[in-house]
Amino acid sequence: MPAHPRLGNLLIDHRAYDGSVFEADTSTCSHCQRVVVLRADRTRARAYCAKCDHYICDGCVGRPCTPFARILENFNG
Amino acid sequence: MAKRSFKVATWTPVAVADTVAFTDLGYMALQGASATQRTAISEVYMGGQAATSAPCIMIGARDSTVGVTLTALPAGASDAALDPATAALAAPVVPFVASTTKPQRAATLGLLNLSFNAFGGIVRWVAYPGEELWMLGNTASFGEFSLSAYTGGTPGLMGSHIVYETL
Repeated sequence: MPAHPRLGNLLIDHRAYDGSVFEADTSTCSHCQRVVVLRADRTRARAYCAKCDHYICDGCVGRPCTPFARILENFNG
Repeated sequence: MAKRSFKVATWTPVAVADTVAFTDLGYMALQGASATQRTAISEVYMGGQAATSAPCIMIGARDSTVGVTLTALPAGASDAALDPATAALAAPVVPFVASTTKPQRAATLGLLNLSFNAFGGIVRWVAYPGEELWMLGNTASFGEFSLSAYTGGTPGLMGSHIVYETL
């Protein structure tokens, strides 16, 4: 788990429709920037990159650590 | 640097598959203004206005084909700084909902799935500071971000905004 998870927030509020509300933390994959909803009922370990100390999405597991921030830095020279 | 909000007061998304041209007024998009410009997207909000059940498969994604000859925003759509003291950029990001060459959502660069029911539903995603989604440049696929409906569901009337900040 990252030292500082830096989590976003997703709120889906259907109280005016069927009374349901869903709220969850989200994490932006540091490699590909996909936003991942962190479901509270997940039992598998969350994908984590120790190299960039960040949650990543399941799709980036096993791939080299290339943080998107580095791509931006390289682009701007 | 200053945050801005691109809002459309009321619109109905037009559902399209990935890499298919959007329909004018059926999507929202932001396009960079220069080859090196960077913009962070920090919030996406949609509030349902439909009168009957309207499941909307709303996707925030990069566009693999960017819009060309962008049309000025119509009535009800606007782009404004959150801080009134904000100085205008020389080359601001362009928010648009219509264009001559239509944008197309990238098949592999979907970043947000914000499905909800527009029959009174609300969906809001907010990034942690520093964890925003980044746009880079003004060409495909990093230079344009769109909010649109994916095939399926029955998209209904909604109002929405995207908060972003150009570096």
